[in-house]
Parts: sequence; C-alpha cells; structure tokens
Amino acid sequence: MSAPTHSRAAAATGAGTAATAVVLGEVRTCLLQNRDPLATPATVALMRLTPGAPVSHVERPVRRVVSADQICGIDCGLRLARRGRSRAVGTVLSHAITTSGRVLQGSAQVTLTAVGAAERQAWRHYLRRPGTAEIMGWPHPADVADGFLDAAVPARGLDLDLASISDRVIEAVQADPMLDHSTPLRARTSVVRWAAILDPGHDDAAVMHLTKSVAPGLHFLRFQGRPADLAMLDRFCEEFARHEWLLNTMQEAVLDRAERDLARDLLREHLDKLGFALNQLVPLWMPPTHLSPQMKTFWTALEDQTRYSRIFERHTTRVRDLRDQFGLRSRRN
Amino acid sequence: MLVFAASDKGGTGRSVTSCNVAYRLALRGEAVAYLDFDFGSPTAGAVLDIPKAERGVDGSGLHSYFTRHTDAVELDAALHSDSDALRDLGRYPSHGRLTLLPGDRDGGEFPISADMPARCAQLFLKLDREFDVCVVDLSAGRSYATDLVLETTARPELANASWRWLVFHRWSAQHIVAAHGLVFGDKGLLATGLRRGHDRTRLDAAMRFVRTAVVDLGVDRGAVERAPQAAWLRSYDQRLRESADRLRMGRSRLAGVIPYDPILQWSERVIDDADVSRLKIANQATVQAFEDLATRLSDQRFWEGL
Repeated sequence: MSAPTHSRAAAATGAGTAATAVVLGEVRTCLLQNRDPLATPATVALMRLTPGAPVSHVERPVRRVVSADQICGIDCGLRLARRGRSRAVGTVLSHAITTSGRVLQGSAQVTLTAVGAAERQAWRHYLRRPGTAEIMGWPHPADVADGFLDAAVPARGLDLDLASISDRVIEAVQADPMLDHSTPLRARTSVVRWAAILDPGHDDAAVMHLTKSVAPGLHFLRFQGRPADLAMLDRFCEEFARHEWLLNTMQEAVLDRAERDLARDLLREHLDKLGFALNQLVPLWMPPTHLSPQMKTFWTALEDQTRYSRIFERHTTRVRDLRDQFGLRSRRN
Repeated sequence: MLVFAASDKGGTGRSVTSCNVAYRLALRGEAVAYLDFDFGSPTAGAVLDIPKAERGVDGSGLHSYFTRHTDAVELDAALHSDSDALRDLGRYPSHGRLTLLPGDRDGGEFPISADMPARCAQLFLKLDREFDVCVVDLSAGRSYATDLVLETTARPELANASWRWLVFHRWSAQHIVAAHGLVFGDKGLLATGLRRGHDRTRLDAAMRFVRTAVVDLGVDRGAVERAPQAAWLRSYDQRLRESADRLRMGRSRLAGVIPYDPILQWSERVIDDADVSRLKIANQATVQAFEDLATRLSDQRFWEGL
C-alpha cells in the first residue's frame, strides 16, 4: 500500500481521528473439566499461567480468580464492514477467569488505533503498549467494529482471530494435569463477541446494544463510550458471558434433557445432573450490579431486554420440581 | 464417550453405518460429534450430504488441525446438510444435534509427529466437554490415524474418559479373518495398544464387532430363489458363525448386525423413517439395526459383560 491511498481513504471517510479507538474482544465460557469444583488455593495455582505473575483473586460475592494477562503478537488482516480490508499490527491481551472453581472463561481483547502508518515498525514499538494494535490506514471506526461483529463469516485464516486466542487460554487451563478431566455435565461453550467505539469526545453515558446470532451460543455486544469506560466494559462482557452461559446451560444441558427423559428410565443419571445444577450452578448467578453505578445501569437495561434473571429463577424452580419428581420415583422404585 | 469406528478392509460400510448410528443418537436427543479421521479419503461429508465438505474442506479440517495447527471447523448438520432428515434435526426440542468435524480435501495420510498425541488428547477432551458421543471414523486397515488414537487414549489426560471400539466387517469368510487380524493379530489393535501403554484388560473389553451387509435368509426371500441355494446359504451361514465364535468374535463381542439393503449398496446416505414408511426405498430392518446399535453403544451392561 502506498501513502496516497491512505490520504484518499481518509478524505473519503472523513473520520477516524487517531484519538478514537475501537476495542474488539471475545469471551468464551465453559465448565472446568473436573469432577468437583476446585478450592481457592488450587484455583489460584491453576490460574498461574505465567510463572511468577500475580493472580488476582476476589472471594465475594462469588469467588473469582483471574490469571495475569497473556500477550500475543498479531500482524493480521482486518475485515471492514463496508469498505474492503485493512491490516493491524500489535499485541492482543488475553486472560483466564474461574468462578467458584467451577466455570472457566477465556477472554481476549485488543485496542485498535489508527495511526496511518504504511509500514510495520520494529516489535519493540508495539510491545511498549501491550494490548494495543495499530491499524494501517484510516478506516472508519464503525466499519472496523461492524466488520468484526459480522456473524456470517467467523474470523478465520489470516484475519484477526480472537476466537483462537481466547480458545487457546481455555485449552491451556483445561490441559492442566491438576484437573481430573472428568465431565460432570456436557454443555456448549458459549461465545460473546464484542466491540466498543471509544471516543474521548463522547459526552453521554456509555451505550450498549445486544444482539444474538443465528448460530447457537453466540452473542454480540456493541458499545459506545469514553476510553475511561474500557475496564468496565470488559468486565461487563465477562459477567454477561458467564450469566448467558449459566442460563443456556441450565436450559439446554439440564432442563431440556431432564424433561425429555422424564418418561424414560434414566432416573439416577438425572438426579445427579439436577443436583449438580442446584448445588453448583445456581449459586453462580450473581449479576454484577454491585460493581459500579454504570454497570448497574447496563445490567438493568439488559434485564429489560432479556429478562434473564426472571428466566433463570424460573429454570431453577423447574429444576427443583423435576428433582423432587425424580427423587420420589427413584425412592418408589 | 468416544467411539472409534475401524475396519480392516474398505467397503465394509463403516462410514455409512457410523453416520446412521450418529444420526439415530442425535434423534434421541444426544449431542453427537462425528470426526472424520479417514485422512486419505474423507467421506463423512458426502454421507451426511454436506456440500461444502463433500470430499473434505479446504484448510480447516482435521488434517490441517494436526499438520498445520489450525482450528478444526465444526459443521452443524442441521444448518449445513442438504438432507431433509438432517435438516430436521433441531426442529423439535427433543432432538439433539449432529456436528461434523470434516477432513481436508487434499489430505492424505501423515506420519505422527511428537506433539500430535497431545494435540489429539486436547481435541478429544474439548469435544468430551460438549458432546455426549464422539464418533471417530478411522480409515480402513492399520493407519497412522489408528496409531494416533491408540497412543492418545493411553495418555493420562484421558484416564477418566470412556471410549469404545467398533470393528466393522462384512459377513464373509475373508472379512471375518481380516477383522480378527485387525484386533487380535501380531500387529493388531490390542498388541499396538499394549505397546503404547494401554491396560490389556480395559482395551480388550472395549473391542466389539459389527457385521455389515448381512443377507438375512428370513427376510430376503426374493434374493433366494432356489431351494438348493437356500440350503447352501443356510449351512454356510452356520459355518461363518462357527468360525466367528472360534475367533473370539461371537455373540458376546457382537455389537450389531446390519442387514443387506440395496439402497446402501448404491448410495451411502443417512436413512430416515420417511425412506422406510413413506418412500419405501429402504428396509425397516436396516433402520432397526442402526437403532439397536445406537442403543448398544449407551448400554453399560453390554460393555461390561465379556
């Protein structure tokens, strides 16, 4: 690419000031592959992905242990929504999160800034700001965000692939010999892909927009806000991802299957699964409204749209009903 | 649960039977993954009628997963198949799902490098977290793929995973001997498994046979026209049974008998209930045999009692 092309592109879009950043992220959620939930010391040891690096650990309201950030260098294509392609060079941050020693998340994010550079710099230039990648050229921020969230084509091949990066974190943890690798409940890994346009000139409170993909277990979140909102947005996505996974697992892997086999002779197995759901999944429902007023606003808006907490409550009641029914029958037998 | 589908010779109906059993399991509500480990000639995409994976996919199949460390693409049959039966999977809440992990179009066999068993274990564990049953379709005969899964299942990560072997063979004198050699021979699955660190009793107890394209003399009356022919067939069938018993391939190791069905001789495909009841192009006995094999797979007592 030559310099005149860039100035033409900048003139054509008339936007993309260096100060506006686009943050792209992906959060994957699954069950930790171990028969029992892990205790705190074991979880902390499990999250020590980098020897010597600090592991962050919060005990209440639910136990949340987060690994240190992993840095992954990228030099990749960037799909733009309306106007072709671009290229990004820099680093992606990723980390693993365990909740109550039971649920595992892999989270990856990158902040993209347009600098108009035509050539790749030396790596030390990019390593100065971990988690940031520079876009070559001046694409419109909305095109970058929409291009990433385009559900039709999952990021593969030479394009920015946060799916693989977040997946790698999960695989690294799940491969740990500390785990016994037995699966108490088989459930889909759920994916939340998000993009935020952070503009220092953004006056109002941050805005959130949630959409569900036709592909099962895939959700998109889109934000607009100020650069200072980033930490909150990142956390919101992780919290949303965990609750979405909980709700979906409760429905697909626990309730639907139990209802389906209500008439069949599979009591023992289902009692185990229902008990697992009540004892190990239900306590994990803890909306992040306590974290900040803005987080509370987001969560309330989300609840207005999805009624997640109400549905989860209903699922819980139904699971309890089913357990009682199965329990009665098994005693009778 | 991991199910390894193997056969000594080609053309035994291993893939078509495995796909049909996977479909029956998904119909019952199980989440099923189908892994095409026939790296040389991936065919599962064709049997499941998934056009974009008909002879494997480009650069994102299991072959690339092992040789080039890419991600293995997962194709949900309900979304990608052209077959009405598979598209319907997902229409009712009582259905499970069937997901294909295809091979690569220009695959070919490859030797196992040092990191492959670990990578294979990672794949199996990942799928075991999400799917109730993973059917691994291995190429005919002894292959690198067979060695790879034997080595992988001996690894400590998979100590708690449950896995089973189905060895497919046609109901003929030669095929019985060949299938016996594949399992019990000097370079067979058991001997290789032991060298890779398997426990003999556990591996031995996981081996079962599936007889395919078996002419059922009670049902296929049309195929047997003359009395001497019927008498010969009956006595030969008896001889085959005796030879199977002698070779430790008798009833206790028999997971299923798939009857001869003309439709499967000409078209490797998934048969659904409409093919039997409405179109009448397939036999009820065939579908029943797939259904029985699916039941056997999840019947704990069958796998314990040797």
